[in-house]
Amino acid sequence: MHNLRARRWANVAAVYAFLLLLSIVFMGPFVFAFLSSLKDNPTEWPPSLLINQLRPVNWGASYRLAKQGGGNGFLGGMGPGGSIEFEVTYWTPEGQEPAPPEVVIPRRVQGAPPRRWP
Amino acid sequence: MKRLSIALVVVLLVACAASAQHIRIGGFGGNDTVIVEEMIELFVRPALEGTGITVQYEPISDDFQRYIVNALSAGTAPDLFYMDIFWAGSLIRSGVVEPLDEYFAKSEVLKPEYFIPSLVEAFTYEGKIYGVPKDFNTLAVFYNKDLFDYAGVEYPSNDDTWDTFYAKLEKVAAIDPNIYGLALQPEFARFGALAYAAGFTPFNADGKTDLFDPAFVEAFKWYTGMAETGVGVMPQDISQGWGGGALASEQVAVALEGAWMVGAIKGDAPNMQYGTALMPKHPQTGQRGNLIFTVAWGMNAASPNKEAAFKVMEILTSEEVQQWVLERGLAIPSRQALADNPYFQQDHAEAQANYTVFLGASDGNVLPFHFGEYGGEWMDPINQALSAVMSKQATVEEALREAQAQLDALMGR
Amino acid sequence: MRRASSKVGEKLAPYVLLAPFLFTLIVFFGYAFVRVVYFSFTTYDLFSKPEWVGLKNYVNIFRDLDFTRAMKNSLTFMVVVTTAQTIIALLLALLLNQKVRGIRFFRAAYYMPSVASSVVVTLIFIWFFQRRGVLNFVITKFKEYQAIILLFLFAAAAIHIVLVVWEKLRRRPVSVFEPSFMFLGVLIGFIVAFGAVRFGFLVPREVPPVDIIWFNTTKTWPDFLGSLAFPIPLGAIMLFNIWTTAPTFMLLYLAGLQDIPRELYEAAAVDGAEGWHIILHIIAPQLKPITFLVVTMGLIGTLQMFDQVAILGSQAPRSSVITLAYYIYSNLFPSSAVPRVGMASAAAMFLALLTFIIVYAQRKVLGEEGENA
Repeated sequence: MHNLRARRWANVAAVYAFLLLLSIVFMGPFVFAFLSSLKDNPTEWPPSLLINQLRPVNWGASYRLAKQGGGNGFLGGMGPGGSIEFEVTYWTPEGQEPAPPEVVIPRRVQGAPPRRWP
Repeated sequence: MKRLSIALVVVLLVACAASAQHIRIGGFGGNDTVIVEEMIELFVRPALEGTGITVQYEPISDDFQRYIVNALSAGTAPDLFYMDIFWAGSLIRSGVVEPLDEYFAKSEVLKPEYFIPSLVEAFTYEGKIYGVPKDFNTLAVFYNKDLFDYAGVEYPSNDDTWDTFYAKLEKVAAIDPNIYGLALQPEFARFGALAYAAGFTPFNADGKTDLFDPAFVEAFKWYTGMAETGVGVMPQDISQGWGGGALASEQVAVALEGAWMVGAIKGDAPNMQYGTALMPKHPQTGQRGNLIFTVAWGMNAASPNKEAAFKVMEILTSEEVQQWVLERGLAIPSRQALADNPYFQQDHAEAQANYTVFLGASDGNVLPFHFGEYGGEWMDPINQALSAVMSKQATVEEALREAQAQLDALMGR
Repeated sequence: MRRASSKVGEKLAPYVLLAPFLFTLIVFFGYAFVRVVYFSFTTYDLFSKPEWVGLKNYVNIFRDLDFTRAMKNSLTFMVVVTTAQTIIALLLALLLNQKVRGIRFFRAAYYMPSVASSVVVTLIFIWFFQRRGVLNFVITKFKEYQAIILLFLFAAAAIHIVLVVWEKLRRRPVSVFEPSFMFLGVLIGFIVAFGAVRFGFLVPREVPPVDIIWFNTTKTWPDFLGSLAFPIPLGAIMLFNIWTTAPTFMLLYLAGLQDIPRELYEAAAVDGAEGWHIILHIIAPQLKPITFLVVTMGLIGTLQMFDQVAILGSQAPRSSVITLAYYIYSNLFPSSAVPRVGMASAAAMFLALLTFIIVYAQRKVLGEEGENA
């Protein structure tokens, strides 16, 4: 009796394992495509499933950054007079005095011209 | 009583339809919709006030060529429409596009002489002109200044030959295995300019294509050779869809692109310091090569309002409209008078890029981007050969032989 | 008098009721069909008047290299895809016909590829099959971990075999595919492989990224088939075509399986039938009408395959992916050339005839029971 129960259990486990394996085949491409659609560069190589946009740490950081820049953590933006924490780690060759980095915020030009190329 | 009023309304409507001329304009969707709508609002409507002519833009976001062929065949085509040089010939030969010579003769403001000759030439068939070029593009060398600075190499210049250009690219590519000199799009739409520089013409005197023409082989080897040595890279191999994307990714120092690149950089790499130069000259012939991509306004031969349509065309191709388009950095004007426009002399990368592209149309072996009755089918075998060699699937010899066989089959049909 | 008129009315009624349908059928199919038949005997470019040329178009399409390639591609595609998708659909249906908890979820999940639009699926696949795409990445990873995967499989199989042999030696009734042993084997195999990596006996190999070019190639596969081998890009299209259509047919099979009366299984069980015997002698004959339907729809669908080639566009060499339907289209709307309506119509007529012959032959082969479907 006990043996029969164990066998049944193993049977079900095998069936589920197989079903799950196949669902990767059928759902995988969609899941991967969806996750990649969140990436900055969906065609990155090597492809990875660690997506910056999905990490709560980054959500927190971007909320703080947006709050510093525009006063609103959810809508972001940059307001005049705001000060933003800027942290960067970089290497300089030995003996050379590290020059403080300068940050230039690019001016986005309104209205991109037609993007049509043969 | 009621019946009478209905009859009256009908009579009135018919009367209105007779006096008001409605001109439909067909063109691309996307950004063109916004531009042409604004153009119509700012220039066309004010100029047409009181003439009873109304204008409407009909953007087609799907495959425009297929749309216009169907619409012309079914008799529902707009009065004026875009004609890309790439497929204009097939429409013109079918006799569905109105020749414009008579209208030019009567017009006071629109004459073919006002436009860059090579553009007008591109829309001339059997001595008749079928389209007024609205703008154009050619290829230029777009380079990333930072990468050249980093490698300590001089920027590409207008005096470069293939040899000096290659030497510069080689040094930039030496920075790092993941940095490349040139984006090698495996397409005739880029490579063709180099083949023309070497002296290749798509069709020889017998109307046949000879890919074993020494000029073609030389250009082919030079271009594909860069993939082999790692001086260049196919955009696909660094996960980019086109040369411009490769340049914007800052992994590649140079891309051969047209003025569309300006907008792409604005969108994708606004921080990038870039410059432009004319295409390099062939070391022996001393010539540059280039392709002209252009779109013209064509008139529907079956249009009921041809005179009115030509009036609209006059406004759409007028100097002030082209100046407006140019100043907004949207396209490069086709009028010769705008060549020494102060806009071009401005000291920023965008204006210089536009000027370089403008100059490209009249320097060296420049041919319009179309291939007679064969169209895109003519390019396919060459594109495959480029791609096969650069992805190391075939040798130059094998790839060209295969491509030649396909072209022979195409032309023998 | 009254009776006569009602009789007329009775006779007319079906036609009146059918009228809307007949109208669309005649206008959009009948009229179009007649036009195509007519155009196939003319040269016509959509602009000038059609000119009668007799059978010239039919002769010309057979002289066209592209057409013979298209025919070969279409037929290969038809044979491979129809066979594979029918078998896979049946297997999937058998798998999903089990009564376990949550099976509805799996049914929905497996059906996803068929629900999604063909354009979207093709785009996803184009992206997967790039030279630096996901598929080549997965193959690269597989090569890197080859030794470890082999060790795992080997360990799992060894444990399973040992257990089965042990039980058999003790003369206990045990099936060769005893699930609990299999489960144990997989578990221990996993531990062994994990341990081997953890303690450094095995490390992933360094392999260069796999560079299989799926689309932009004129190579064919498999080599031993000679001229019967299919172009690799066509093979890629086959793969994702099977992936999208198999679930549709799985649904049909599933419906068929659920219609099989329980008594048949019970009777078989009484007679001592098991496993393959049930599939061969109960399920297969009962599903014959469904199989007829699936194969017929598969044949017609694969012969008409067009969208995936069209979306692939210039990413693959034309000669490697062109199918009959795409040949028709590309003659009707050639890139920057005048439409060749005559050639396109002749090819369309040929495709229609070919489809008819193949489906008819298939019906003869599968037998008359098919008519019940």
